[in-house]
Amino acid sequence: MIAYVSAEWRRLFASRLPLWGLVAAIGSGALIGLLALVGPENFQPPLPGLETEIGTRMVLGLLGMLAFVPALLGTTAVAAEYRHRTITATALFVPRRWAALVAKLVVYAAAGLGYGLATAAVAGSALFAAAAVKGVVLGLPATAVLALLGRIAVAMAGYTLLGVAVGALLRNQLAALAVLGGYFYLVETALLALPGADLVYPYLPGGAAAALTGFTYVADAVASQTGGASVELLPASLGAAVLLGYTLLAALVAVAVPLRRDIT
Amino acid sequence: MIETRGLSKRFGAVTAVSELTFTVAPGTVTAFLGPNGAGKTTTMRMILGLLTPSAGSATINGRRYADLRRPSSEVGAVLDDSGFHPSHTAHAHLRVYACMGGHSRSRVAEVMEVTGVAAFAGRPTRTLSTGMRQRLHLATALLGDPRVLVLDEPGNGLDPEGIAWLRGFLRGLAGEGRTVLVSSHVLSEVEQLAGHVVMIREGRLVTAGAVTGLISAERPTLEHVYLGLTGGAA
Repeated sequence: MIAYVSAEWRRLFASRLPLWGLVAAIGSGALIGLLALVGPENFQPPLPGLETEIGTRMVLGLLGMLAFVPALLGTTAVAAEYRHRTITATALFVPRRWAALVAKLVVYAAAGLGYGLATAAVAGSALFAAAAVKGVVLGLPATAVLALLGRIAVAMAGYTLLGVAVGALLRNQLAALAVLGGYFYLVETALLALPGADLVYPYLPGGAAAALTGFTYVADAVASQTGGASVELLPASLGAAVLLGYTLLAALVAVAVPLRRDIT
Repeated sequence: MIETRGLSKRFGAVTAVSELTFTVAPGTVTAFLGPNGAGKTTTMRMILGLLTPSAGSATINGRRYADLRRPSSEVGAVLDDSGFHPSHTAHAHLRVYACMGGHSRSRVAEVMEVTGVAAFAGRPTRTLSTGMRQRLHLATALLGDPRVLVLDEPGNGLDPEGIAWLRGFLRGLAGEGRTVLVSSHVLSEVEQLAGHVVMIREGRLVTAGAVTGLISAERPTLEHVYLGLTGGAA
């Protein structure tokens, strides 16, 4: 198994994906810095400023919305094996297909966490710098900000594994990207508009990630537009458990389903 | 040694391979012949564990491919639709699979020299010609110094010089006592290369045996034998 993990690591870093990942991580983090510099009080509609707990959480929570990006990178990594037909050589070298998938999951869990940490580091630095430039004291203590950033990094690692699973299941790279993007940005948000969805949303991946990162902006915005009840998210620890559950389920499905498939 | 026993594969209502039984012995190159759609690639994929047989079995040295402990050290394969990550260099590609198979860095250097990949090792695979890609496929197959080789149209895309090189190379491997199964459409080439043939049509075995035993006064070349047995015009 060590050899397979090592090979997958080498495969990943021999491609341009880590470079694109780093660019995306820096871009995501810098976006948070830009939003902080503009200030939530200048958003449309205006929101509480960085000097409030809600304002600081809001800006950091927007980073959680970008957890979709590493999920796309995870999907790309696995679906590319089918697109470029390297899956044949991989299956010849590792005929126990579950082992190849487990190796990918291990590598992409680490890569996803690395992506999350890089994003969180850039975002945290940018947030503190923006607050200093504006002469504002953040509404959350530095330890709380760091803890929130850490949770966002973990959520990104989980989302990366969800992306790997979707890539392993759908195999078609474009279809996998469309399904993943469509689900996170359209389906979950659209579900919020349905009556009773407030009961289900906390248990969906997006709701669990929102609980983990304390970000309720999207749910609250939809509720205010539709006149529905505002969504009560799970406690952060339970949100983490739900997200972990989805991640494990996705990993299990990603490992189990390809076992019975012919490679034609 | 490669053995198939009653090997069959159905895709829905279509029977691609039907009760195929043959043996590929070590020490000689065995050509796997048949018209397009005869089931050659499907059979090779079943031998290599990529397709699950609907019935029957395929074994390599007495074991199913999936049961081989270090498959790339026992079997090397070139399949025509296999690909490369476009941004990987040829060298990086070989290093990934060497790592996966537990093969050393020095072995990567060896196969690059033997197959001629060393000449373009630093180039991204997306820039390689068809012939270069075939050499890289062959280098990947040889990483584990396997005793059994299963090669689907390995000469595709090679120039005349490359084909001559491949012929000598495969003969040399067979001469070392390895088992070499090669599918090809180029009968003149097969005649120079192979000692044995396995011929199939519509998924069924037509004939198998030594080339010298199949050629006769009525069918003086392998082409005559092939066209006579597979229903083509002689």
